[in-house]
Amino acid sequence: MTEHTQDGRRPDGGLIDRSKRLRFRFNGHWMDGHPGDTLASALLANGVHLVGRSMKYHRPRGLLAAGPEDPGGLVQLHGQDPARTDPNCRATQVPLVDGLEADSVNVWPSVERDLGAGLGAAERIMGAGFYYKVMHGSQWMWQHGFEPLIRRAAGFGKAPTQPDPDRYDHRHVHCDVLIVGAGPAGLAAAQSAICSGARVILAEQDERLGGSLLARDRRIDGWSGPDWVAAVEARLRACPAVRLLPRTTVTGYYDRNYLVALERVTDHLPLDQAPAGRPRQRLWHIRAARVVLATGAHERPLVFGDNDRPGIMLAGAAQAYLHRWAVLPGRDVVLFTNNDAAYEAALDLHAAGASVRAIVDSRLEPGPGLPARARAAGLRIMTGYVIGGTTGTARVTGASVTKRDGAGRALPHALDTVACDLLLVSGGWSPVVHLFSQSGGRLRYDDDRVAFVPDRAVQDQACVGACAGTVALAECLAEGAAAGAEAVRRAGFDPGPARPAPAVVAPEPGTIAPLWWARPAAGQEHAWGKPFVDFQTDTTAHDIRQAAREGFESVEHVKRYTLTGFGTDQGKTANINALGILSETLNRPIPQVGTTTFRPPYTPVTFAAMAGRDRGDHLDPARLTAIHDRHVALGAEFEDVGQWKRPWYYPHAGEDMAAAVARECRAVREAVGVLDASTLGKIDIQGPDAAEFLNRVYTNAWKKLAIGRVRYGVMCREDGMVFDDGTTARIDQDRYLMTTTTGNAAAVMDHLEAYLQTEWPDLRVRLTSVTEQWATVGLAGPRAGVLMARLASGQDLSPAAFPFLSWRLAVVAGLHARVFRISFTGELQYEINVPWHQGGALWDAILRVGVDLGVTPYGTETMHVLRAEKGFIIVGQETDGTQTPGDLGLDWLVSKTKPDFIGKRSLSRPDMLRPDRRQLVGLRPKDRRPKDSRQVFPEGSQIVEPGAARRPPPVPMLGFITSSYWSPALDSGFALALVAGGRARIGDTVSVALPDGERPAVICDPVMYDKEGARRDGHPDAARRAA
Amino acid sequence: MLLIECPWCGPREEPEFHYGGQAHVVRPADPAALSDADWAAYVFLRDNPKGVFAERWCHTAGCRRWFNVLRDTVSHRVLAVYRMGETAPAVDPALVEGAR
Amino acid sequence: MDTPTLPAALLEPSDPAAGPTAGFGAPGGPGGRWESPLYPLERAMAAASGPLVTLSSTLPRTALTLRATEGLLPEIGRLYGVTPPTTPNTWTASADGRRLALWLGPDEWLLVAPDGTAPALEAAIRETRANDGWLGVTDTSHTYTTLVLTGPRARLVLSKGCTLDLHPRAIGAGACVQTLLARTRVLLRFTDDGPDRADAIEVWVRNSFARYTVAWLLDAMTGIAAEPGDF
Repeated sequence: MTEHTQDGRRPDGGLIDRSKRLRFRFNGHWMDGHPGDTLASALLANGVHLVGRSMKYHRPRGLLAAGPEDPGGLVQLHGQDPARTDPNCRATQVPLVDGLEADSVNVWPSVERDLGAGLGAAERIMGAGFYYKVMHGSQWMWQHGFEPLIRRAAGFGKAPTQPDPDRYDHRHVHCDVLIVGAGPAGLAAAQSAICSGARVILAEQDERLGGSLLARDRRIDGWSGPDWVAAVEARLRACPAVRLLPRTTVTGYYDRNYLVALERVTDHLPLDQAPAGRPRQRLWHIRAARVVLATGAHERPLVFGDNDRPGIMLAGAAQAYLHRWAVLPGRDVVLFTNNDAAYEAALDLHAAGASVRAIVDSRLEPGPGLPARARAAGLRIMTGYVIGGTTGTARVTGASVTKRDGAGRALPHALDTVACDLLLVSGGWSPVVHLFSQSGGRLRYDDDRVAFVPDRAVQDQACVGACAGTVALAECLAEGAAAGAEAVRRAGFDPGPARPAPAVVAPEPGTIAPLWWARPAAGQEHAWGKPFVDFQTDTTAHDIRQAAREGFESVEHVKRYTLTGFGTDQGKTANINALGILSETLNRPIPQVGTTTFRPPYTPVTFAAMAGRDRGDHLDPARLTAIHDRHVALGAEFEDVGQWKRPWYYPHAGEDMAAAVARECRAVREAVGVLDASTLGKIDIQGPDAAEFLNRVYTNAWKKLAIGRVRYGVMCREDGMVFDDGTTARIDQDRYLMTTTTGNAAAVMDHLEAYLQTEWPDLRVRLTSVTEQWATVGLAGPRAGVLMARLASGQDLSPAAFPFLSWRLAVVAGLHARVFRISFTGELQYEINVPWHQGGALWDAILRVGVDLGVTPYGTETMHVLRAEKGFIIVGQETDGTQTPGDLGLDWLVSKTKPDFIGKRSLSRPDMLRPDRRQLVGLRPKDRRPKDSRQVFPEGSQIVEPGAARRPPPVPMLGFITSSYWSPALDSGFALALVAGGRARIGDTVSVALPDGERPAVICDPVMYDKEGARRDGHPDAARRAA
Repeated sequence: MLLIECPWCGPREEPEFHYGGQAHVVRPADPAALSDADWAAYVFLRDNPKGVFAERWCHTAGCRRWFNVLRDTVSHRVLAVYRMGETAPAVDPALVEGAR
Repeated sequence: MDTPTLPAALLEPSDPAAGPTAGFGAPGGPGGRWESPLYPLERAMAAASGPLVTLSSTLPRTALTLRATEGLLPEIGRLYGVTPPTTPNTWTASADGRRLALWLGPDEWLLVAPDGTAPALEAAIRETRANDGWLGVTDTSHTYTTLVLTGPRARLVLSKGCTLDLHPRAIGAGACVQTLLARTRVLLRFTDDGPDRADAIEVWVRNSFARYTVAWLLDAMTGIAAEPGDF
């Protein structure tokens, strides 16, 4: 096993705590680092450049960048912990902690010897559009050949296999100013925004504030960069109205300055040291009056042959590793650049003791600033040259320098090969406009800066510093300070006098000339190895040209065809180069080629963080009735109805669902059942025009309903389709109580309020939801009258004195109650309403008092069977928004005399009058076999003409089954169904189409039990038996 | 996520509201007098403009009031809110992305 | 017909003002006159409470939902002891603080009064209809479960599931707002009735959601001491 030491670490400098040593393990090798390190800097300090393998060709890959834009350094953390293991972590963003375990992803069996690397030879057949072509060519080959192979080869890391044990928090916060990014511009903005009274949030993705000031040698007012940052940070921390959020990435920018940020709360602590109860991550939901985007810029690599080897690094990243982490990423250095600014990296590495072998500048004339300093330092500068290709496998060993021909193409042979272990590249800088673009802002291509810069904002915001394309440090600071003060002023606070502009020592940024691809001469395109554009998806310049050749000219098409920007880094280092190559290929200027859309999140967000505490029981509220605990104690199985938990059935020991439901059904038909009906929606309707209002919203007539009486009604939407049904009772002169279905309660309330407030504001009617004011218990069955008499002793609630469809005030089990005589079962039924908090007491009394009567709790399944036997519909089961009242056999509920009600006009449209509309009917198995539960057709089954399934498709569908149960009373399976022209076909035999063939069934009346309604007022025999 | 100014409760987040479609679509006083086509147009046909759109929202999780909103369908900016029965206020065209 | 004998208490009409007549225990407990959905959670609520934040529930109170035009408010105010506010999202109280009127909408208020006063109050208010035609008044005493959060981090706990700007600068004592908390509609009433006249925030939630809301709040309170307390 290789022994790693921190050979790459310089003896002094850097923002690390050398007094502490941290041990960590990478691919099984133990290594050392220091607090302040990232995994990336620690790996480089230990001389590790080979971090992983690429997705498609399994090429060795290292660290290209030092921040969130890095495409290659993906690792799997905590691979030994099946619950906490974390795939696709960027080594550049993983803070080093003691005991950290990280492994390369996408390698097998090991990163050094990966068997997938042979795929590199297959580039010609695995180029752009490979998947589409393979899938198109042969489905069999795709399913059995390529897909399994690709699935094994591709992908980043392994998902955890156990539930996430950690906590994830969410916070909603409002502020006057949100500053995104704590580099020089962001810090300057914060500094001028604080102490004004304005609420300021400063979010920084790094654990340290400072941004580029930590990665360059700069002086502000005589302070070093880090010292100036520390001084500003101290001032910010002293101000109570400022919230500093380090380790927090703003990942999304939405409407009206609503931004989402992910804070890594304890990710930087060893797993066993995170304080108990603290979340691992926190998602911040921020509404800001004004946003200052100081998100900086990303350096771009250059595109040339084999430009992806470990040891090829962005120039600015090398400076960051050197200055911030005191790591010298290589000793023999070549720089390949198209701009002046990158010369500073060569100078810095030179000063740190590295040997700078060559500076290869694609331009003929570098600018006068940094290049002159490099020349004065004696560095070898080759202007007008490019790098054609590189050598090396696990690490770069040399760079092949060549010249460009008259057409600007790289010559196919090397003029000089320079040995190196670090090849710095710089193609210029791209402002981080992701958030700006997400906010709806328009971008503008700037020819001088060779970059897209923010143009027109559509939200209340400002872009400052490198994010705005500003390069010089003094200007970044000035822009930030001005934007911070302006934001405070707009929020209505006084920013105070402006600070004097600080004295800044920084090099001149200089000039840049575009170089999108050091493209080899015509006919020699493959002379220099693969020119990678997107290091994560392995897209090459050839792929982009091929896409354009095949007709994919829109940048959005090229992106999808070549997968550029589809990796977990969203192409932060790749997109502009791809655009440049496409622009050259199509011979169109970049602004005409356009740019792809930036979409959230800026960097990946875990599902756990998005879910927050919306997991398990908190995912969705379970609404519980007042009687819930009694149902639990009785062993009920529950059914979700909307958000409600309703008892589904109450199995006794040894009973399955069918047995329990059959027992409950018999109890209601033969004795008395008790149902918790509290979940039905209830609306208190008051006002002089209440009857007129009901007349307009229900299809039937309401003006003559007497006080004390109850009526059933259905309501439609304007399209004439049934929307809800229920009973409404007249409570008083100007007062009604409407019930709605359980699932539709809120929708009905909204529907009614909408009409009152928008269409009929002249109606003097007011609505109040009383769903949860009352607990409702239904008693149903031939012995319900006896039980009711015991519960309400001294009051005559017998069917004779208390007629069907009326209600009474009564004292039931000592509780003030409203009792309704309605029936959803066909049996004698009372619905007892008591104040919610007394529901439990009522239920207890009923079960106690009714023991000898065989009182039996029944659930929704039994309720469904019993009502279906009677042909009663359930909205949402017999209806799906395409049934008129007539379709459901409810024509008798549609007033012919009312001039208008919601939906009336639609009911006379020709389509509503077609005789072949699907109509509600009953359905019985033709060959009745008692006790054979297979005769229960599956709900949703399609109904066809007999023998239709044997005919060639398409088979016309007559309709479908909406409800289907076993009926103990009928000793048979039965169903309700919607069948074309069904009411005229009663007695016909049709087929229920099932996967194993057709089953014959007979269409019948939907009312299959007690058609004459004799049981509604109590079955005299049953009552006698009970007595 | 939209931020909508409820005329009574002030700015609230979109999840507190219920969307009610195009505003100022008045229910015909005498539906029976309409042709099938005219009635179908009332029930089913709505505008879908790029730019300023008058639509109804209800502050369902708050004061339960319906009101009208002028929204830029391009930028999702809420340009104005006004109560039921009021006419739409004038909008500064400079604020409308959809007008560009 | 042979009717079994019931406990005498069950057969008597319960007088809402007279306490636990039903004979099944004290208010709040199982089977009582006012069985709180929270009785199984009360121990956990007490255990989770500390100097930074406490969670409890209120004793039963009368609540009436009033739907009226503004013209009726002075008369209702004379009768009720406090005039319902016309400023949105505020509440008013009678001089003795025992009667409250919370703004719910431009024509809707929640009147909160001592337990047991609902029937008389409802009848009295209904009488004011005579002057201005009509109003609506509904007893909603049994509709809500009312929780109380107090302590310096009460607002922080709410901010984990509430999108409102809960900064004291934006919302203070005297405010009442209807909004969403986590996945539930709530009515928040801000008072300074907490210890040392600090925050006390009532969270009114419909009964069926009460256990969900409490479970959510308990989860949100976990580890609150380890968080930066700034707000």
